Amino acid sequence: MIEIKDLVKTFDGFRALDGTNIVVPKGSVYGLVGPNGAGKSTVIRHILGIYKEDSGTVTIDGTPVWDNQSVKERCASIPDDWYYFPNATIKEMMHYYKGIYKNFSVERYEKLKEAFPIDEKKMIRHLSKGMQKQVAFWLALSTMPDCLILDEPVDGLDPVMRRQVWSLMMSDVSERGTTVLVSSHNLRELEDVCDHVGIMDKGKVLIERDLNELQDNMVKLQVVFGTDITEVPKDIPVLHVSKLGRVFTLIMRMNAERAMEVLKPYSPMLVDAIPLTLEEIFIYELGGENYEVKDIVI
Amino acid sequence: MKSKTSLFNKTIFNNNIKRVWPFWGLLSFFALLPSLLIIVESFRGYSEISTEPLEMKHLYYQCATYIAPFVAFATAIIAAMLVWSYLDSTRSVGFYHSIPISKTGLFVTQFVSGLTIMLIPYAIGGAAFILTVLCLGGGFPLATLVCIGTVIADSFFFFAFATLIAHLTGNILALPALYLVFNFLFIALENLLNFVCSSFLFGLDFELSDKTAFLTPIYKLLSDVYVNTEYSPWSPFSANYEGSRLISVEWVNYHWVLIYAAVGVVFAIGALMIYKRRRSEAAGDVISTKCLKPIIHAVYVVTVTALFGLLLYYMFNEGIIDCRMKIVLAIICFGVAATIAYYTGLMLLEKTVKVFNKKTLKGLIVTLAAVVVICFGVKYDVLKVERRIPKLSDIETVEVISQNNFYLDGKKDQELVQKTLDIHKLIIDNKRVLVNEMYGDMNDEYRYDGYVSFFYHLKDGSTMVRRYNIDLNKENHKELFEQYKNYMTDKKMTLRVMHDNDDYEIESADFNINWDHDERYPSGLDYGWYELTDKQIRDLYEAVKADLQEGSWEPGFSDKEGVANIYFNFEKLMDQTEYRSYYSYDTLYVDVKDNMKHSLEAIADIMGVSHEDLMNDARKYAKDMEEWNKEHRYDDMNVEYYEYRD
Repeated sequence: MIEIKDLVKTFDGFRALDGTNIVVPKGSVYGLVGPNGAGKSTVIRHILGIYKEDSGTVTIDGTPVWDNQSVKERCASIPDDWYYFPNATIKEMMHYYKGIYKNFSVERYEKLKEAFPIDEKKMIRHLSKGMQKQVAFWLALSTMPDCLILDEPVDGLDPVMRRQVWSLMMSDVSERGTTVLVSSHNLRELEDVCDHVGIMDKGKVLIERDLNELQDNMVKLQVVFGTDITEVPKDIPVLHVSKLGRVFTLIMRMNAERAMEVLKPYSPMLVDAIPLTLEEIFIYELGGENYEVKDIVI
Repeated sequence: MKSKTSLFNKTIFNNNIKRVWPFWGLLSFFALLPSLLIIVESFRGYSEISTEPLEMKHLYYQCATYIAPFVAFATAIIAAMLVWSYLDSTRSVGFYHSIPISKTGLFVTQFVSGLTIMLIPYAIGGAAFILTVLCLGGGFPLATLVCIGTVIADSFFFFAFATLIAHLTGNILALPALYLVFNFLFIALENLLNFVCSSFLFGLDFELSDKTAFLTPIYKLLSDVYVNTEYSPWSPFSANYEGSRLISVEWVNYHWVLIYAAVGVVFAIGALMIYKRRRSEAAGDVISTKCLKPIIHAVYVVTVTALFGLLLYYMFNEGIIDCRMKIVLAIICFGVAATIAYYTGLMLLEKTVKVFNKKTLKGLIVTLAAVVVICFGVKYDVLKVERRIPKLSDIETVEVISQNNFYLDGKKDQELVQKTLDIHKLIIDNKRVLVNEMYGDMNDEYRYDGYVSFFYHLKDGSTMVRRYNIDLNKENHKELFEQYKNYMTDKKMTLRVMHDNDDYEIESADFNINWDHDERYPSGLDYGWYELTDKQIRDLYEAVKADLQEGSWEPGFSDKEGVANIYFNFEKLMDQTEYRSYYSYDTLYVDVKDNMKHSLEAIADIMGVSHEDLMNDARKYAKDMEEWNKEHRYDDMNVEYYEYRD
């Protein structure tokens, strides 16, 4: 389990993380989402032991990460800008990883060759960005990690390779109980793989829940009221309202049953509940934090 | 391969060495060249190298003394850039700090890698050389181990130094610059501050000093550690063959190598401590450790202000005599320099040009206030540097350097030393007069131009040096001039000018006469200079001494035209070791006047002309010159006279 408690990090007076709290349960796939500059990469660099916390704690299975060799041996990462030695081939980089990671499996490395059809004698810097990302996955998965920390992991991969990579990761999660924390802006993809989601903004985690719970906790309703009601009554707690003809679309922070109850006194002619996508949840949650799509026409 | 200890990772080490093979490969090639040369020469039949044990010892000591420090100094920075460059990029620092190895383990691994990169060429070149020597019949003297030890010690020290700098900075371009700056900072600052003080304080004279040389290791190692050798005449084949044979070799001051190696350990531990505290996000910063930024900034501001301020001051002070104007100019020049230094320093440290705000303005005001305080402090000599004169009891010896020099012993010559202290005090008390006279009429016929330097060698081992220009109008400042003249022409003192009663021996002497001479005088002289025998030198010396005793020679104070010049060269044995003798040298210059009867007679004897002829010629020449000088005065030269005001 990855646990971050009251994490604070300041860069030259700017508070990048302002008391961040995150719990990633063991064996889960946790999606960390948030707008640009929310502090996601800073959180990841703390989990990897790159940054030292100003205050608060970052632990994996109860052990602090900072300067801890044994914890790092169990973690693999794929940062957005993966580093490799300028003149290294894939095979040379493999030998490097093998010498550093105690659990590195040559057998797995060989098996993964099928998934990543790249000539291992090629210099990494001569590969395309997408292929370099594949190499990063190849090596990271070969270290047999208990924790996999990913920052924009499928950026630059083609659709087939994306599916391939997610599939490999999911099999790791199911077979070995690997804990995965993934930061991405591709919410549709995250929705398919994550079981937990944390939404970050301005250095804080606004919401952290099981994805199903999160989806249950917010509902989109299409409602048609009687002719006497032209506006949504003020006592109905809505996050967002839009109107097309007589059809109102309401976003409410409650489950569908409770929303029906709230609307019942107004005798709507039609009520239809539609589940929200992660992207919609992200947009409407952050809308409440003054981060919304502005209707700007230039 | 897995590392069994967390303090060293073999994979990272191997990778470091493998990655930079062109660097150590090239150096190894150069290191192999001497052995290759010896082998080729041997095959051709004439070996350049002697395998005599003492010669081998000399060779190894020379290598340890002159090659090892220089090579270590140069290669350490490259090795440091190769192994610590990952600290300067967010991407690489992220990688290295996320891999499973402790920071201490990574530091040790990188440090050992860097040191190995430096030592591989030595190992390859050294092994080849030792093998070559063994093949040629030479041995493996203890000096070989001494040389190996020195190479390791020097390499360790300079690499630890470069490593410390690499951890102070987070910028790959700043690393070599800071390495050079910190290597020479102290000796440069010492001389720069000396220069600034000598520009503003009465009596302080700039001369290169190296009191802080021990803080400039490469300078100290190359200047103070040396090899002493002694050779004896050797003619094994025939009496006509004049050869020499090495009979002893001594390595002097080698303890500095050990001291620096110990300092290297402190530097390495310091670097590790900084590394453990260092934030990865400092990658790219000129100074990575926050708490060091104000110190580095202050050193930068002091250095740039002194250097640039002085440059501006010398550019604009031309023609300014008034001291009040000078202090205003100094405040403006140093103030401008301090402002530029302050803001450029901030720009470099903060990696932005947006450094102009209220917070930094406060710092600038403090800096400028310091400049004003220092300028006034120097002007009013707050630290009493100008007025400082040593106590008689503290003086070991005194050297007085003027037109001619003399040396006084603190114990034996107490009366003369006291006279020297009195005249020194008189000069200081008359600062106003002497500074005014410096800007006086250069064409003044009553003017005396000269200088005097006092070197006080004190009992605590230090030396206090003061130098004054003694430019005086003899009529306007009669009393001061007479006091100074009395001191300089004091009989006992002037005998010291001639090294009478001290340990200096006349080593050689030569003289010439100023007028064009005819066939009565001997020819065949080297540019008018006469070579003298020991007896002639002694006779001439005694003649000058007799003139001095009679008062016809007043060194440096006669208004009469000189007719001949004599140089006596003296030497004094200062120190003698088993292998080497150290001498101090001095030269006495005698401007012979036409009234110096004894000296002119001695010259006539040497040249084989009659006393009468020579005296007549000398007087005629002196008279002609006097008339010529009167005709050629630059009367139209108009020099403005300024009054010195505090």
